[in-house]
Amino acid sequence: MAIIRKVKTMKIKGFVISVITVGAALLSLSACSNKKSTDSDNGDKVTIRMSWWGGDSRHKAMQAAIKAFEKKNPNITVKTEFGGFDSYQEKLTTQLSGGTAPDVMRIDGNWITTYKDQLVDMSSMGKELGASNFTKDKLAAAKVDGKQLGMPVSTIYRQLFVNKSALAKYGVAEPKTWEDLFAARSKLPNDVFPFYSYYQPKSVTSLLLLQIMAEQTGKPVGNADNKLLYTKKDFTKAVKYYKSLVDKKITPSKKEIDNSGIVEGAPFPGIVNQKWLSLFSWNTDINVFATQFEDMGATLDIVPALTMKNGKSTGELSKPSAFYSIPKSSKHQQAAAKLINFMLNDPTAAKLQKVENGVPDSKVARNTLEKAGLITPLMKKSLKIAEGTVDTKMANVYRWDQPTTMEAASDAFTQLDYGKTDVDGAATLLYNAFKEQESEFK
Amino acid sequence: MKKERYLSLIYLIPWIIGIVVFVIYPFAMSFYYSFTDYSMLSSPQFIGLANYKKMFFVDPNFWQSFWATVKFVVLTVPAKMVFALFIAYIMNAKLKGIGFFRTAYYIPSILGANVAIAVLWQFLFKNDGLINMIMERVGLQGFGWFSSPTGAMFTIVLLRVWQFGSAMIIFLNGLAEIPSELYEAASIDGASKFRQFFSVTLPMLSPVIFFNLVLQLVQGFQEFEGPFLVTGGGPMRATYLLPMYIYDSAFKTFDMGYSSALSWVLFVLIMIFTAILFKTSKKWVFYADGGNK
Repeated sequence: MAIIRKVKTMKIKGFVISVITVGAALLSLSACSNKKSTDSDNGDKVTIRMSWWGGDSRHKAMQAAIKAFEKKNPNITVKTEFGGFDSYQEKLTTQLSGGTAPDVMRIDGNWITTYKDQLVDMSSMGKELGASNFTKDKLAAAKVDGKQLGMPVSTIYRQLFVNKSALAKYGVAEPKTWEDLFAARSKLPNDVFPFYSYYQPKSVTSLLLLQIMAEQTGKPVGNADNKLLYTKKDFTKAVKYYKSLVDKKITPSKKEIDNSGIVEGAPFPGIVNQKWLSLFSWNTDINVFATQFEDMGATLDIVPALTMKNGKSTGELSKPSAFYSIPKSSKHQQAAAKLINFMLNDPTAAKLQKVENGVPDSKVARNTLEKAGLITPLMKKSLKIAEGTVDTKMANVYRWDQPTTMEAASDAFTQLDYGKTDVDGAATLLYNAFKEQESEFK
Repeated sequence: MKKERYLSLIYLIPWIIGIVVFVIYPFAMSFYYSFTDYSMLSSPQFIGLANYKKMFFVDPNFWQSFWATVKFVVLTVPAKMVFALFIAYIMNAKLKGIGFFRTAYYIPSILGANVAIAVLWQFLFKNDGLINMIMERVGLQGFGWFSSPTGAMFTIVLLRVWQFGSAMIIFLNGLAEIPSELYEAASIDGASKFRQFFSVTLPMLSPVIFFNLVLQLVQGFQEFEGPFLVTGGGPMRATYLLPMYIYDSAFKTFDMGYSSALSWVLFVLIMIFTAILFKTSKKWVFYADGGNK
């Protein structure tokens, strides 16, 4: 028994010693890696992480550009984290909360105010980031409280895509104004709609509301300090207009959308069946819709944003598609800045990424693509229209497209379309939500 | 003996670490967060019972989600249990090729709820979908399944009932365990198949029914994918079940404090229903050995 006990005691001792040894080894290893990380920006080999969202073609293009970067900078290895847009923000927020966010993060234009306390102020890194390739207003889009919290990737525009073939079939001219849509109604069968505002299946977009309000008031949602400029009266007027679009069957109601068979991630039946004749969406969707139109033997065309009789804006709204930002937790901020500069401004990177991230805001990257003929004719037309008519007064409108306001817009329009509230009730709901958002900005 | 006890404790360390880090710690932290205002991006601020007060007395969405969840569970669990038992009873027959059918009936459970299933459900229930087409063919009027609160609830209940495979497998095992002598004795006594089912099968199967019931109840309260993918919680939040609300609060509005409070209410709700089941089980669950022996 004594021997067994002795063996067991030795085993326990051995176990404890092993644990201590392994622990010490791990500690020393982590100490080594920490040492490396602090030396990283002095030319030692470092590994940084970069994350983005997108589809397969973007993933391939980004990976190719990153490979080119690694070839040019052999001391920096880039680990990539990518996937679809769904749940990207959940993951990123969790990483930011835990201090484990990637060194270079692609963030949506709307998120910059949400993450403002977690991001590095890049104001003093202009040279490393190649900031001289961007116009002041493009850089300003990523500024919060005077801090440069990101570098702009590209600018997207809200535009109207029309089904040219279907319009011709019904003898309807390409619409230029909202009034044209109302006039087209009489020429269309009951189940065909002249207009559909796409943002998210299952929810009515707040962007349609913001579009109407921009044209009706000529004011952006808020001023530079994010103070709400719209009054309750403004919301009432806009909701009334939306209701007339539904009542006159210019756009399908929420009820009709719910029953249309729409599913996230699948082509919309309204488009496939050619029953929605125009789509109001971001111009980043051009290729997706162009392919879908082609598949059903229809032709897609782009027309300027619809204007309104006595309207006070062109209604052409823009938004930075995304920013590249560096989290404060990054230990390799210089290497991260170098990567951002390469991805945004390097001609090789531009050619490899083509327009997978939209037409770049960087002047040098855009020139490269134009010279190489890598901007599609449809995208060229889209940009020509958008850049010629964009209402710069509305440059910050997109910042109000936040979860609180989106949810309120969805609730208000759903209740209105289902007859559960009236114009005044919907307007009150919206006004309160925008006031809540105003306080959230603070 | 003491040292042996220490040794076994050492062997248990990896498990203890796992349960502390991945279960007890998050469990305790979520309870703490439920009393805070926590956005994940800044430190949690203690606000006492404010989240619970908001939930019970201010937030209309909570009560809508609460009742939608209860309705979903009350409709889904019994329907799924009856259907799974019915199919298991048929599948218990000793027929040639029965293995194929057992597998075939289990397939929907493997599919889960994903975009393909959402497309299938939309194809079936949309305005010009298959169900409405059939209804119109037989002279009935088509129905707006996704624009009616009752219709939308029906579609997600049906989705879960359709995925009865796992409950069926458990029932099949239970049925196989019932001694054949009992049926023989009942036959000799002149009991019909119907009588045998209620007097032999159901009592002998009651522990399995109880187990399945608890399992389905907990799963029912945790339902997320169906409404998330098929109805989006609509129309007008009629299918906006509590797990969906918890998810949206946590990851859309990043209100982790409120989301934690919602999670705890859901936990208590599940506990209450499970406790009722355990309490009543003494009256309807029969164990061959008398139970607890």
